Formats: sequence, structure tokens, C-alpha cells
Amino acid sequence: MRVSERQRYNVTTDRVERAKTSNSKMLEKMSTQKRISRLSDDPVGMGQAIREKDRIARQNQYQKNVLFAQGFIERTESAISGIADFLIRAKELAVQQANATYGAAGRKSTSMEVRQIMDGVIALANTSYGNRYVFAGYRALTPPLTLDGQYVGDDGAVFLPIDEGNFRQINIQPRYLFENSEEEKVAGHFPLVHTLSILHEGLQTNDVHMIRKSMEELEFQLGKVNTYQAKLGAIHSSLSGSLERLELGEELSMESLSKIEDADMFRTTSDFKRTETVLQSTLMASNKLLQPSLLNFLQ
Amino acid sequence: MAGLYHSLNVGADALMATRQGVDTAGHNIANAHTEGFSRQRIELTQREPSQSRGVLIGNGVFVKNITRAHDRFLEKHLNTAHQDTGYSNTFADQMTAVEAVYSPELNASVADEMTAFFSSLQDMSGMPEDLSVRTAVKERAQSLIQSFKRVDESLRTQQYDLNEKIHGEVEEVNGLLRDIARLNININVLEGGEQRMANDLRDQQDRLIRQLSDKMEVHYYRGDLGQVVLRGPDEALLVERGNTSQLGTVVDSDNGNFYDIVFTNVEGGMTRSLARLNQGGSLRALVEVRDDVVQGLLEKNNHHARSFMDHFNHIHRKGYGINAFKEVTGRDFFTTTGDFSQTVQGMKISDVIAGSTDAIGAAATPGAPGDNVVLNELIRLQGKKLLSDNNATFTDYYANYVGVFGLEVLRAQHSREADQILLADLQSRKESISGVSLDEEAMNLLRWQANFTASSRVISVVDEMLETVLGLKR
Repeated sequence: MRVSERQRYNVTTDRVERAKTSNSKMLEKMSTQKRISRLSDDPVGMGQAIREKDRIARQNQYQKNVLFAQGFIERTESAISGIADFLIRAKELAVQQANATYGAAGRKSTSMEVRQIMDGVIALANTSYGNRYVFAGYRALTPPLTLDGQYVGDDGAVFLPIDEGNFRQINIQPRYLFENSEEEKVAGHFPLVHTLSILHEGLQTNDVHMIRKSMEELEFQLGKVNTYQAKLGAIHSSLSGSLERLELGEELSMESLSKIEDADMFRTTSDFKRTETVLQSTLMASNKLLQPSLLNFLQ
Repeated sequence: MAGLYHSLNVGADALMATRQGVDTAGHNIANAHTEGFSRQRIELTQREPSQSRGVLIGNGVFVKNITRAHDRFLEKHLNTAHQDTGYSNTFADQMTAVEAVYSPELNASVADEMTAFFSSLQDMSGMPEDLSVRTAVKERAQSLIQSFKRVDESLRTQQYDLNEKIHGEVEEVNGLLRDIARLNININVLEGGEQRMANDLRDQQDRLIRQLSDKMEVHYYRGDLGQVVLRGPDEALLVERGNTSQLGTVVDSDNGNFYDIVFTNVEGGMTRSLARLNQGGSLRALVEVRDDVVQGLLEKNNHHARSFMDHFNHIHRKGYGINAFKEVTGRDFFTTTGDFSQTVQGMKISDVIAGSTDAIGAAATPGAPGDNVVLNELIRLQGKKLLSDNNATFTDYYANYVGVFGLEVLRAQHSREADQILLADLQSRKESISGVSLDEEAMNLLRWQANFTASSRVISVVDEMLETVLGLKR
């Protein structure tokens, strides 16, 4: 084959060009530590990376939601257990004052404490988390329990997304904690605050019969409060479970994102070394290739 | 009648021929690295013999012609390869430029902003009555709109650049056509219809045709008097003798006011559009990227934005706001123009929500600031497969179309590599035939030098003989 000058130069520049290109690509990989620095490096991987990033961000958000929900529920729980404590105290007082040994004066002064208990229960029922009342349902900005124990919240169930397509209710609908349902009315039960006011009235009017009645009713109310407490506990523990799951899921997603996006350092370094050697030897060979010509030997 | 002077002439002719040999070798060496140059060879022929004393005696040598080492079939192949490479090279270059719009290093891609927007909705879901969270949702929506717009604007800038490039290329094509036609005339004048060849002019013309092939589809043949006849796409006659047709660009109102490439024939009449007929060269690539690739991406972006807005608004209209908006529904969150192709350009947060975040419709019941039922329905949109025949979520859609585009970029780069390898192979074959080898020329020089010395000897021998003859008289 005839080899012309331009052919030799073209081949040489071509080779050097190629060696340089792969060398600088490797250098880019090394310096960015990324396997994909432009779309065409791995279009399929890039699509996966977009989805994986989206998944990670969502899992992050779900974790935030769960933490928010936990805070909300903890606040609700502490309010309810506060109410329970008040009811227990009221029951104690009722049991004590139902005893015939106490006189009108003693009962009257005890009624003061019952009044305070009533106020305390109403205050707890109007507990807020941030600026929303936890027992108010959707009417979150209005105190749900009026001063005379009337429930003015609604039955709104607040759901929060805590996982893919999974919404969890974070509040309890407390209407029948504070009011008496139809069946309860038939069975002769009263609303929660009303029960306390029966006790209050009984103590004030020195009516032992009424105090006794309130004693039984308080027992019933305490039972109701306990069921709500149990409900909240169940929600709380299932939230903790999903938090763990979310953290694990995020970790896995991060790992697969890294597999798609990040360069394998060990391999990249050795690849870079290899392209560097190729470049050096190409340059050396080119130098040798372009030197000799018959003209050099003519005198 | 051959005498001593005849012998002197033979020697002188030989000197002349060898000198031309040296000149040609020198010309070759001088042009060893000239683009498009074909090495030249002198064709030596012995003169017609003449009769002298009953025998035919040789009359020495003369240079019949100087030819170039050239393979016209290979040249045709090369031209086709140039059309292919010109196309795939420009195509890959432009695709790579568009690719930057979807760079993974970008942190505010449509997908990222989409995710962030839904996250802000989830934040709001926990406290829909809170002003700061509502404001955050509005800001996030604004960023999402910006990310759609950024894609739209970058793509439109690319499209505009491509359009300008087409204009520039057409101008260059016209220049090349004129040069080719002018060389036609020069070749005709120099060759004069005889055997001799205007090698250097033909080399130049071949080179110009190759440059033209880089830009567009071209067919040609060398016809009468060594002149080239050039035809373009759809047999459009571009150059004949010294005449050229002109290409031009006109604004095409049917195609977004971008340039169409039109052809006006030699006589100046008969105009037609060549933009979509042209099957090769950079012009085809530029037109394709402008009208197919970038346009397609713009439509995808618009479709993405429009269906997102439609689905979002559809649900949002059911929502009650807070404060002044606690009793009213039917508000859109996003608005845009009715023209599909302007969807992203016209996209914005609806005036009522821009005016007050109280208007964001989170509640399914009136007067319930803590109600997040509609909001949760909006959040569900994130995971719903509503696009691509209910196969893709909003994020999927983006990831899919960007991925498909990435594959196209990759394919463009691969076919560029393939075409370049093919072209390099043909070029190497051409160089093998037409290229100058310094070693070979050095040997030629040696040969001519030896020949020159020997011919000089002939002359000096004849000179000595003449002296002997003249000495007879003394």
C-alpha cells in the first residue's frame, strides 16, 4: 500500500485525538465522581435516577409527615390523659363526699375544686398543636368545647400521607367523648362536662343522691376516655413502625441512586491510569512515526 | 535529415523533460500538505521517429501531459460519505447542545420541582390553615412554573439559533456554488478543449464540491470540456457551466415563522421549497433538529405542563379556601393561554391565588380551615398514572421523555462515529492514491537528477563531436 504524507499525519492526529478524548472523559469522571454527567452518558440510568430522586424526596417528606403526626398525637394523648387524671380526681372527691360524715360546708368548699376541674377539662379539650385545636376536627381554628361544655367542633377526620398511597388518620373524632350519643342518652348517660356539673351541683346543694349519681356517671366517662386513649396509642405505635420502614426505604433508594449515578472510584482511577498510559505511548509513537523520511538521508 | 544538431536537440529535449520532472516533483513536495491536492505525474512519450538513411531513428522525449493521480469513482463515494458525515456530525453536535437543557447536574429540573411542589402540599396537609405553609405552596408552584419555563425558553433559544444557522449555511452554499461555477469557466479556458488538464483547478473544484456535500445533498458529473454539472435535492439544477441557481431563506408562516429553504433556478424563475426534500449534509440535520427534535421536546413539555395543570385544577376547583374564600369553590390554581403551543409560555398561578393564598382550595367543606380532604386528593395526583395512556405519573412522564431523548442523542453520537470511521477509511484510500509521499518524491528527484546529468553528458559529447568536426578543416 502506498502511504502518503497526509495519510500519516491524519492517522497520527486521529490516534492522538482519540487517546486524548478518552483520557479527558476519564478525568471528568474522576473529578466529578459521577458516572453520569450528561444525559447521553446513560439515558436509561438518568431516567432511573430521576425516579429514584423523586422517591427519596417523597420518603423524606413522608418521614416529616409522620413526625408531624406523632407530635400531633402526642399532644392529643397528653390532653386526654390530663382529662383522665381530672376525672379520677373528681371521682375520688365524689366517693369521699358521698360519705355521710361530710357536712354541707365541706361539700360546698369541695365544689370549688370541682369547678376548677371543670375548667381544667375544658382547657384541655381546647388544647392546640401549633395554632390548631387538636379536638376540633376541621374547624381547627375554633375552640371545640365551649365554657358550658358544648362540643362545637365537627367530625372531620384529618388524614396525612405517610407512605406511597397510604393516608393515615392523625386525629380522633371526639364528639362522643364530650357528648352523649343517642344510645347513651337512652341509657341515661350525660355529656362529660355535664357529669362534672352534676357533681358540682350535688356538692353545692348538699344533695348526696346527686353526688352518688355523678359517681357512677364519672366511672362511665372514665371508661370512654380510656378507649380513646387506647385508640391513640394504637395510631402512635403504628406510626413509629412506618417511620422505621421509611428510613429503611430511603436508605435503600439512596443506595440504588448511588449505584446509578456515582462512579466506582477504584475502577475510575485504574481506567484513568490506563488512558493516561495510552495517551503517552501514542504521543511517543507519533513522534517516532513522523520523523523518518528519505529526504533526511539525502546529502 | 538527422545530423549532429539533431543529436543536440535530443539532448536538449531530454534536459527540458527532466527539468519539468523536477518541477513537478517540487510542486508535489510544496503541496504535500495542501488540502485536496492530488499528486501530479508527468507523462513522458518518445517523439515520432524520423527516417534517416533508411532507418527510423528516435527523436528523443517530450512531456505529453501532466496528469493527477485521481480516482473519480472513489471521489463519488467520498462525496456521498461527506453528505452522510455532514449530516450525522451536525446532528450529533446540535443534539449535544440541546442535551444541556436536561443536564443531570441541574438541581431544579421539572422533576425536582414537581417533587418539591408535592412535598409542600404535604406540608400544608398537616396544617392547611397556616399562612406560612400556604405561602410556601405558592412559592413552590412558582418554582415549578419557572422550571417548565426554563425548559421552554432554552429549547426556543436553541430553535432560534438553529434557524439562524440554517440561514448562514444557505449563504455559504451560495458562495460555494458561485466558486464552483467560476472554476468551471477557468477550467474551460485553461484546458481549451484539448488533452491537457488543469489539474490544480480540478483539485480545487473537487474540494469545493466536497465542502458543499458536507452541507447538502449533491449529485454531479464532469461533462463537456471538463465542466461540472451539479444537481441538488429533487434534481434541482444547481450549477451548469458558469451559471448557478440560488438558494435562499424565506420566513415560513406555516412553520412557526422559521426559515424555509427555497430554490430559484438558473433563469431566475421557478421557486420551490427544498427544506424537507434535502436528504443529506448539515442543512438536513439543522432542519431536522429544529423542526422535529426540538419541536417535539417543546410539545412534550407543553403536554406535560398542560395535563398537570388540567388535572390539578380539576380537583382544586372543588376546594374551599379559608377566610374570605371559606364559602366559595370553583377556582383554578394555574392558568394559561388556550393555545396549546403556548401552554408553558402562558403558564402562571391564577390571579386569585397570586392575590391571596387564602384562595388555595384545601377543604371539601365550607368554613372548615382544618379540612384537608381536597388537598389530600391533590397529593394523590403525585402517584397517579395519568399520562401516556395511564401508564406514567407526572415524574415518570418527564423521566421517560428525557430518557428517550437521551437515547436519541446517544444514537446520534454513535452514528456520527460510524460515519466518521467510514469517511476516514475512504479518505485514507483517497490519500493512498492521490496523496504526496515525500519518500517517493525524493526518489523522483534523484531519478531526474541522474537523468539530467546523463542528458547533459549527451550534449557535451555532441559538443565534443562538433568540435572534432570543426577541427577537420584546420
